[in-house]
Amino acid sequence: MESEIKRIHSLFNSGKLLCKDLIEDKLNALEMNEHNTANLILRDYAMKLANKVDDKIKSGQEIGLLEGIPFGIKDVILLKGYKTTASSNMLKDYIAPFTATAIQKLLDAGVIPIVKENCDSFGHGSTSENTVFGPVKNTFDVNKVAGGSSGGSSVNVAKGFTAFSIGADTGGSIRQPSGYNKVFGLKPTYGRVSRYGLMAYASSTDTIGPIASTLEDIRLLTNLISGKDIHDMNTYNSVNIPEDIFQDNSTLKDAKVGFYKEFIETENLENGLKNDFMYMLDVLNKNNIQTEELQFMDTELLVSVYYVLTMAETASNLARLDGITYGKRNNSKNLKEAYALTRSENFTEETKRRLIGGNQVLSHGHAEDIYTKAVFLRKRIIEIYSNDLKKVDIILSPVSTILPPMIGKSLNDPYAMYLSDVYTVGFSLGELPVLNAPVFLETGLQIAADKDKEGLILKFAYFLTQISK
Amino acid sequence: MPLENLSSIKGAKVSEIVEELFGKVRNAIHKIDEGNRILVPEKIIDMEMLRDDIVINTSEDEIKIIRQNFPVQKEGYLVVPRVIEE
Repeated sequence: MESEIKRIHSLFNSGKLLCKDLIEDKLNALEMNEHNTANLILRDYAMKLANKVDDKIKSGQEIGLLEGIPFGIKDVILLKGYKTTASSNMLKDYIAPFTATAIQKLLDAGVIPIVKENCDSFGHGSTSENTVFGPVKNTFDVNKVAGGSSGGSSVNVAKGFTAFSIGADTGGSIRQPSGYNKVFGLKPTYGRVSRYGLMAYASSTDTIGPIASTLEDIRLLTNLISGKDIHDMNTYNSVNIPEDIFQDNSTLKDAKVGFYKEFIETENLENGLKNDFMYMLDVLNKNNIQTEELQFMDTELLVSVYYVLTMAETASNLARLDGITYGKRNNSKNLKEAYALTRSENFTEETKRRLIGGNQVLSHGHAEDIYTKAVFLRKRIIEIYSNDLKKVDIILSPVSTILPPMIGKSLNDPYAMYLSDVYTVGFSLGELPVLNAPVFLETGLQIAADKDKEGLILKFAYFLTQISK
Repeated sequence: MPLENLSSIKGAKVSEIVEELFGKVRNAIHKIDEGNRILVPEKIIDMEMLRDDIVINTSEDEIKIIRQNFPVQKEGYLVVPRVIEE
């Protein structure tokens, strides 16, 4: 099974590649890259770790599979002693006092962090343009957006600047940029991977997950970063996805695949993507996979529920960023004025829009009319998934209604940007695992299943890669 | 309370775009409220799943970084602008 991690490991073991040479190449490529993917390059730290790996190999000691593998970290995830800026002015000088659990597990396995990656500020965006480090540029066309919010992470993997990256997904932030840059990106089941050390955007849907160029790497990394963590009460002990998951496709014979009619019939979906999706259904049927049309709710309502809830949550989570205990302070004559100046001048326009919206929706009058209703509607969404996943094993969906837009276009039309999230936000509200795989559609295909069924998703993704050839 | 005070953002006002999203939820309720379903917590956490109620001391280097991150500090304490009672 193809794996970038195993390929590098084998080169280290055979003596054909020194870890320090590999890391140096990647660091140089990151420094020179024109895609604006790096907020901070961890040169000294990475080179020190690389030399240790080489010394270990030289002394005849065995190295672990992941030792010396270079990876990137989305700049909303903490690595102790290094800046974690959330791509914002507010936290431009913030140094992480501890390391996120998922990252610590990788460090314990010997993986080498080489870059903190550019993204939408606090995860607020779908294009990686809402960043004080400048927009991230698409892998295949530097005039187009990389997608977001994990844009830097996806481009780094697609360009080979990192062997893999660790992103975060609240409403599609791993899946959509993975699609825009043709790599694999997994949003695990909510709670499978600890959120400890991830700067909170919307705590009830925030997840950490891997972005990689192969399915085997996604499997290896998901197993490594998953598990119960006392720092995150929503985590649970998951079962590892077995190594032989890709070997036998016979169990997929009886698999039933569903798709939401509203998602495909909408006029908002670009024709090319619609045609590719229909073609994919045809290919599935020809391969004796049963497909079934499912019904969801009004798509604009779905997006609205997501934004009501996440704006409310982000307004609460980011209330601490006031320039007193955290963040860059803009001084003023009194406390209230200092709060207002600090927050007005150090948050981006998109972040402010979400914070104001969140405060509005939680205020007296609106909370009852809108927030409580959105909570209720979320339960309805969970029920829909629960019922549908009794009828089908897998749900397929495009990841975006559109192809990557030109840089600057979405900033002028935020409503259209919100609506383009329609295919990703529902699965987040449902807490389901979803992989975006670069198959059939220009922007890839989302493969979702019931909670904790990442193994089935990877197996089906592998099957799709086989039949799409 | 004005949005400017709620959000601590100068000039904060209702966004038409956000208002459009909120309107969809506000107007949708009649379609789903018919069952009078009660909101039940999605997750129930067993007492045994809770972590031990013990103090975990922060390490010295972590404390050092936390202090380094203070926006403004004096002798190891956070400096707060003068509060004027209104």
